Amino acid sequence: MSMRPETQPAERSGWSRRSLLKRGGMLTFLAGLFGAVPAVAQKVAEADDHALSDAVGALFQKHYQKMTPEEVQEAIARITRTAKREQGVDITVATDPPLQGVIFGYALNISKCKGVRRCVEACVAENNQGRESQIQYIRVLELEKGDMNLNDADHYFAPELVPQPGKFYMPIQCLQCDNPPCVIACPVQATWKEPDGIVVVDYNWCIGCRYCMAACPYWARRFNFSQPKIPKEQVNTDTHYLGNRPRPRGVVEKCHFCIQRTRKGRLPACLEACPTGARVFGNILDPNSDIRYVLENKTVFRLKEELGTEPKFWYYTD
Amino acid sequence: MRPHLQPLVPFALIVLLGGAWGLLGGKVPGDGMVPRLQAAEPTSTPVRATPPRNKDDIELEQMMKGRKAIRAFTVRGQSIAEAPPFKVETRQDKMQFYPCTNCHDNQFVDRRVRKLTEEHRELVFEHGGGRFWCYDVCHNGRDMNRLISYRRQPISYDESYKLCGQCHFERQKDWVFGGHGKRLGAFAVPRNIPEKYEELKVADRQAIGTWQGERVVHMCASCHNPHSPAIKPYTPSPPPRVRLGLAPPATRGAPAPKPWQKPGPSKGGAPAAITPVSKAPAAGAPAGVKP
Repeated sequence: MSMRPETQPAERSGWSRRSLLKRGGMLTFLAGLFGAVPAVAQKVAEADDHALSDAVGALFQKHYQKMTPEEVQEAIARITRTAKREQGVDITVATDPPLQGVIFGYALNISKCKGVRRCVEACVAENNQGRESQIQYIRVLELEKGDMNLNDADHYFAPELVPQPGKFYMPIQCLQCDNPPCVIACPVQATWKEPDGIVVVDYNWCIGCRYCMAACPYWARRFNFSQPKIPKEQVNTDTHYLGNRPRPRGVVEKCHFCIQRTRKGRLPACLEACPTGARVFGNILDPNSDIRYVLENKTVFRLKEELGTEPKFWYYTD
Repeated sequence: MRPHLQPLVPFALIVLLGGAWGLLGGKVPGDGMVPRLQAAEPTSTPVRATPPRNKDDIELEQMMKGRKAIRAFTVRGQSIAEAPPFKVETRQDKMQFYPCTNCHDNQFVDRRVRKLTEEHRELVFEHGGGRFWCYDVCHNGRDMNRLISYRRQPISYDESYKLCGQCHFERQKDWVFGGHGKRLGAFAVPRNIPEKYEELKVADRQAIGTWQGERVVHMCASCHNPHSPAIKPYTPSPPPRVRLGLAPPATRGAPAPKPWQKPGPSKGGAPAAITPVSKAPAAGAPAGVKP
């Protein structure tokens, strides 16, 4: 009875010695626990060389267009770490934004194209396509002269010398449509058209449903049925996030006009490797560019123009 | 004249003229006589003095008077002098270590057309179907370090496109505006681009050409051999691999018949006529099995 008045003030304040020890101890424990978690996670990550953390981070990363610059840098760090760990190469992943006042256009002279397929090889070397899966962005069709029925085309042609008499050759790659059906078909918006006209894919956001492949009327998209494997010395280390960075298995990829080169003012690899000079690339907004001369002065056509896809890839003849 | 007699007028004229011919002693050549070569005398065959000039012809003539030649200009009316600026790869500076004048010392120029047996044996003269000889158009025997134009003006090897453009002016127009030829880039000789991706070395990324900024283009002679300018056939790179478990499609036979080659609906009935047409492409097209 006599103890009560003595203890009441302490209980009112809620800070008896006992409770102080109890709460203080719990706080210390929790602080230690939460402080230890990152350290432990760091240890775990270092133990498996960030394999788990990178996988988890890639799984939970956002859509490329919704990432903050810091998140983009984290994603790039994950990609470079993974490339170093799995392939043993040091790659650089650029995120060059589209250039102001530039819309890319491509023109191809089918009078000049001889079916040499150097463009295909240069594309494979530049864009880090899987060597075993043998994905190729460019498909060179061989057609009879006077025949524009693509059902009659042969892209497995392998004569000793090209051009063969009576044939003409027509390479098809992604035509970077201005009204791309693949973008409309994608259920998760993993592919979109950039302001400079290039249709790109966020490989981390792609779910591999291949609706876009079904929607594309030009057979321009390719699916990674297996993890792309490239010999270490053949990997192109100059990559772009939306371009030729390492792709996982089960995603769709396609020609992106060598975005890692063209956004730096360079020419696409297929154009560089064409020995006939059949390819013309440039900014269709620049009235003095090569491509504008071709579009204005040559007989040009676009493939399957009646579909309304508005490709930014023109075929022309001399 | 009465209307119903009008169709007879030509016949009447023929009869009258024939009678006049006979009366004047005309003979028909061929019946044992010497052919009358002078039959084609000017008076007998009417010569059209002036071509008929209707209103359209006159209008066209006036319109063409103030008009430039279209083929040498772009649709915007630019001539090659108004082309965007460009640079070409240099050639003249590579000649300083072994100039042509080392051998062609200008003392004696053998202008005879002959088969070259001692020097320059590798040259094949196929340009223009072999109708040119060295000193006819391109080279000046007295000044071999330079080329020469039709008007005998010297042309540097760095500007050899001017020489080519004398005849191939339309192609030259394409070239200066960028519709023909190639920009200078990673591969110095377009002919020698490796065939497979394993051999491609594009590591030196500073050497890759640019689509913006300064335009540096290959010269005519870096792709076309000036003495035999037609592009020779290439060895193609390997075809794409066929997906596992599938056979490559058989080589296509004749292409599907053209719409104008398809037989129309015949008298035998529509189904009988359509059936062979629909089967014809199906026989050649799928052919999934290798023969």
